[in-house]
Parts: sequence; C-alpha cells; structure tokens
Amino acid sequence: MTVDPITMVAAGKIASDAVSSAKTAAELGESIDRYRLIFKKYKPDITNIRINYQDCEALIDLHISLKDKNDWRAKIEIPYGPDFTIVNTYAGLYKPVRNAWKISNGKYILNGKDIPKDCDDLLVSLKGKIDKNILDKFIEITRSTDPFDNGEEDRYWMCSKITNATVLEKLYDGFILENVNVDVHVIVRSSFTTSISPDLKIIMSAGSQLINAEKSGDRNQQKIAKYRLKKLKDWAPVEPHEIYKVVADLIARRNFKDYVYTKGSYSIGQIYQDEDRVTPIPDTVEVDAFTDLNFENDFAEGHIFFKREDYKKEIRDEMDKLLDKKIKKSKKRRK
Amino acid sequence: MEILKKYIAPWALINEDIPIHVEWISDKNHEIEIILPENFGFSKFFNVVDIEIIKENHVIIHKIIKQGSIAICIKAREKYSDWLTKLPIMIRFINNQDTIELVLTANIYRPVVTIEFIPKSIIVDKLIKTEGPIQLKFKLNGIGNVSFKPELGATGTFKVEKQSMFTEVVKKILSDLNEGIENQHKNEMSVDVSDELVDEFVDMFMHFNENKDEIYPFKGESLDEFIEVIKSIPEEKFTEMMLGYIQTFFSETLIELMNRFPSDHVEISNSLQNISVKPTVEKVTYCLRYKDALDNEYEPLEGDISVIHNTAEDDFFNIPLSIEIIPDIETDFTVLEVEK
Repeated sequence: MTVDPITMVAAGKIASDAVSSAKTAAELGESIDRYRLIFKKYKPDITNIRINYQDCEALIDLHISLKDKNDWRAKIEIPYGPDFTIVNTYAGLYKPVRNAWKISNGKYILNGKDIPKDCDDLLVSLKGKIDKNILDKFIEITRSTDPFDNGEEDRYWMCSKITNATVLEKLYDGFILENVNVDVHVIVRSSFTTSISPDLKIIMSAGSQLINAEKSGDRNQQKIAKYRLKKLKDWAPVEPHEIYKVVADLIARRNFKDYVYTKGSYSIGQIYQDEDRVTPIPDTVEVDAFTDLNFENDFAEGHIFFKREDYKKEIRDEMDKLLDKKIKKSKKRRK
Repeated sequence: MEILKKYIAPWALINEDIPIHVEWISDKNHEIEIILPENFGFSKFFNVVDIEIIKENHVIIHKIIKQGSIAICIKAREKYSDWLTKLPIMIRFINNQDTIELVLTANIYRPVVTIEFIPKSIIVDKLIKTEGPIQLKFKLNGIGNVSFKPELGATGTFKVEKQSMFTEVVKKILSDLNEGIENQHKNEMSVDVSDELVDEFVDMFMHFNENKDEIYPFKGESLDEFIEVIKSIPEEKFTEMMLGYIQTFFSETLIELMNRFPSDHVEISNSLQNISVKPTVEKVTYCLRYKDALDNEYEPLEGDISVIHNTAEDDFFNIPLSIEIIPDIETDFTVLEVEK
C-alpha cells in the first residue's frame, strides 16, 4: 500500500503513544518500588497496593518471609524516612503486632518479642504518596462536552480507564485505585439568567433607560424615563446588588448535591461552587464523581444528572421572595 | 469467543474524543480490525503493541498486550447536515476458526439553525421608535450549548451600535471618578478614597471597556468595599452620583447576562443592536455565525432585508433589531435516551 503523509503522521503518533504509556507504567512502578526498596535487605514482595487517586496516598502491603533467617528478631531495622509511615504490622499475615516498631538513632527497629517463634511471615503496611502527575498519566478520563437535555435534566456521560499498565499488573496483582474522580463542570449560568422574573428585569433596566434618555437629549423621553424610574422605585425598590446577594446566598447554601445524582458505577463526591468567582453569576459548578478501578475492572462508565428545572425553581422562589418583600415593605411605608 | 462488555460514548460533537471500550473472553488470540466511517480518525489506542494502519479510518491491530480488552478514542471530523447522524463503527475480531463482528453506533450531533421569521422589508418612519426592536427569529435544532454572533451591515452608509448601555455607564463612571479624584487633589473636595482601591476600580472598568464581548468580571467583595467607601465620603453629591452609577452598573451587568444567556444552552453576543442608516441605504444585511461548545463553527445564515424610507429626514435613521433564538421543540430527542 502507499502511505500518505497524514497516515504516516498518525502512525508516528500511535508509536509515540505506546512508548509513552510504557514509560508511564515504568514511572509508576518506580514510584511504588521506592517503598519496597526500604526493606531491600529482607527481600520483600509487594502483595497489595491501594492508591487513593484523590489525595495520592498509597497503602502498600509488603510481605517479608522469615524462613531461613537466623535470629531475625534482633536484626530487622529500616531507615526512618519522612515520606512514609508504618501503619500496621502483622505476624503470620493476619495477627496484628502492637507497638511493633520503635524509632531509635534514625531507624525503625522491629520489636521482635511479640512475634511468635514459629511465625514465618511478616506483613508490613506502609503509607506513602505517589506523584499526582504520574497517576494522572495512568488514567484516561473522558467526559462529555455538552449535556443531553431531556427538558427537565441535563445529563453528562463520563468514563475512566486504567491505561496500558501490564508492566504493573505483572508486578502487583492486588492493585486498587480508589476514588478515581471525574470532574464534570455542570453548566448553571442559564439557570440563573432565565430565573430572574421579567418584573425584576424591568426594574433593573429603568436606571440605564434614564441615562439613555439623557444622552438622547429628548426632553420628553427624559421625562418619561424619570417618571418610570420613580414609579418602579415606589412600587418595589429592589436594588441590583440585592439580586446578586440572593445569588450569593443560594451558593452559600451548599446544597447543590440535592440537584445532582449519578447512574452507573460512580458516586457523587466533592462539589466545588466557585465562591470567589469573578462573574456575578456562576458559569459552572464542578461536580466530582468517583469510582474504584483495579486490573479486573479497569474501566468504569456512567452519567451525572443535573436536575436543572428543580434548581431553577429554587432560584425563582428566592427571587420572588425578594420582590414580594420589597413590594410589601413599600406598601407599608406608603400607609 | 464471547463479548462481555461494549461501550461507546453515547453522543459527541465533531472533534470530540469518543471513547470505546470492549471486553471479551476467548481461548484464542485474535487480530482486531477496526473500520471507522469516512472522515473519522483514531486519536488514542490503549493496550496495543502492533498496529497496522491501512487508512486514516482503518487499522488492524495484530497484537495487544493484555488479552481480553481494548480501548480506543476516535474522532469525527466531517460536519454533517442533520442535528444527529448515526454512524457504524465496525470492530472485527479475526481468527481462522472464529471471526466475530461487532458494530457500535457513534451518535454525532451538531446545532442546526434555520430561519424562523425575518421580515422582507423594514419601513423607516417615526413609528419605528415606539414599536420596539424588529425581531429576527431563528430556530435552533439539536442538543448542546451553542454560541451565536450576529453581524449587521447595510448596502451604503451605516453605523452599527450595540444596544447595551453597559459601555455608556462605564464611561460615565470613569469620567466622573477621574473628575472627583482631580478635584480631591486640588483640595476642592474631601474625597477620601484610597489610591489603591481607585486604581483597582479604574482597572476593572477599563477592562470592561476593552473587552465588550467578554462576560464582565468583578469581585463581589471589592464592590461591596467600594460601596462602603463611597458611602463614607462626606461629599453628598458625589456619593449619591457614584452610588447611582454603581447601581446602574450592577443592573446593566445583570441585564447583559440575561440578554446574553436568554435560554438554556444558548449564548448570544449582542442580541440587541441598532443599525443607523442613511436614506440611500436600500438593504440591511445580516449574518448569524454560530459555534458549538468545542468552537466548531458551522455555515452562517446570511441574508438581507429591504429598507423602505418613509421619512423626509436626511440624516442617519436608527433601526433597532433583536436576534431571537427559538428552540425547536418538535425534535425527537428520545433517540439519545439510553437508560442504564
């Protein structure tokens, strides 16, 4: 076959992808292996790895065989390091050993007294951290750009996958990646802009209409604009920053979780509403959906639903309350 | 061989990554041939070592790393004409004894905009001022977020002006603020506003002035702070004036946003515009550009409206126009309803 330039470029890209994914797997391998090397002298195996994708904390179980080691109790010591902690120690894989280690002279020293003499295995759980950048390369996350709108709800699809990680699979069978999150940016700005009533819009536009009329130089127009502004202020003296206050209060309620749910193998996690936003109305709300992945289940898919019309109703109700309050107050004052 | 799991993203725009994932169980090794529709391409392969590229949309995977699963990402590149186009993705597992064919469906959507109502002619006379803007109505078909940019023109001498008061308000605030500061320096007025705060404000308003097409950013806190400071100024007249402007500024920002996002999934920049035409102008032209959420641009809608001059005035005559986007409620979206 003849190969056109585009295809050649494509072929080049694919090759480099394959290389980079193998590199990523090796990087992650190294990053995990660091913890095995702490016990290098005792030739440990890694039996289990649980990595929390959110905070990058890794729980690594190391198995040390105690067979053929003379007087091992007195000898097991490892350098103390600030980048890991020993969480648990088990004798014979299941029996927890209390106060198993003491720190002395910059070393962790095993307290062998509580370990039965006939015990052949020692299991140590370490807690460490894995570089987020390496983890990110290891997971492929895709979510829809646009929601599908069924008239009531906006739905976004999402999926996550452990990419080519065979290198790791060969090394570690018990590998779990927990809380793999997909951040979906749920669009909310139109929920606000379409929930402000026409009455409020008329009140808001009265001021600028006056400026417009002043600019035109038309006396009659100015007169009408002034009269309108006065009448509207008498009827419901709503000031614009009060509308923004309603928006800010709605966000401060932190109840957005009531308006989102998932289907498929994800659960709703953190919700980030941008309280420091630089726009008066938020554009999006970041919703985290999370799932667990391992080598058997290295792929997850699902949907996030945003109950848009329900959310709008809450906004409309609050806006209406503001207007009603102002009308009542103004009536009272006139009496 | 048995297929255990098959997944394809349920909808996608052109140039959007479409993930595909297939899992199977088999006691034999297979070569995997994937044939995409014309003008589709592959963007990512996972778990693949030996791949033969037949064409941009056609590959044969000779060897995978881990048996039993494959994941790829593909992309559609061609703009289709319908709001939804269903296209087959062919995946063939080839083995001498046992060949299995799997067909997945890619749902490629796009916004489709048509003219709902555009007047044939505009009569220019005194009435135009009182009747409100002339509406140009378009119908939007499809799902997803769409941003619109209308452009107006005319055959002959004309001026186009956004009907937004925003810039006017900002200009006025800026000039009055500067005047106030100048007076302060001349000790004519006891305005006590910290220079830092004023600088921040001038910066902010200038920014609005320059980026008229942007959403107007501001930090709520600094505005509140500013209002407090202004309220504390003993010069009553100045305070009242500034507060008035700031309230107008707030209101205009809100109205701008409401006009810009008039309904769900629709963004229109400058939905209200004025075109001022000289009596020699015979036609007003319009061009509605639109983009999807990934900034893919589609064929704009263009046309013209005749102008009939029914006034003796020789100067520019102002025609207010508004662009309305109406969602098509008749489209059957249930074709994309995939219940899990």
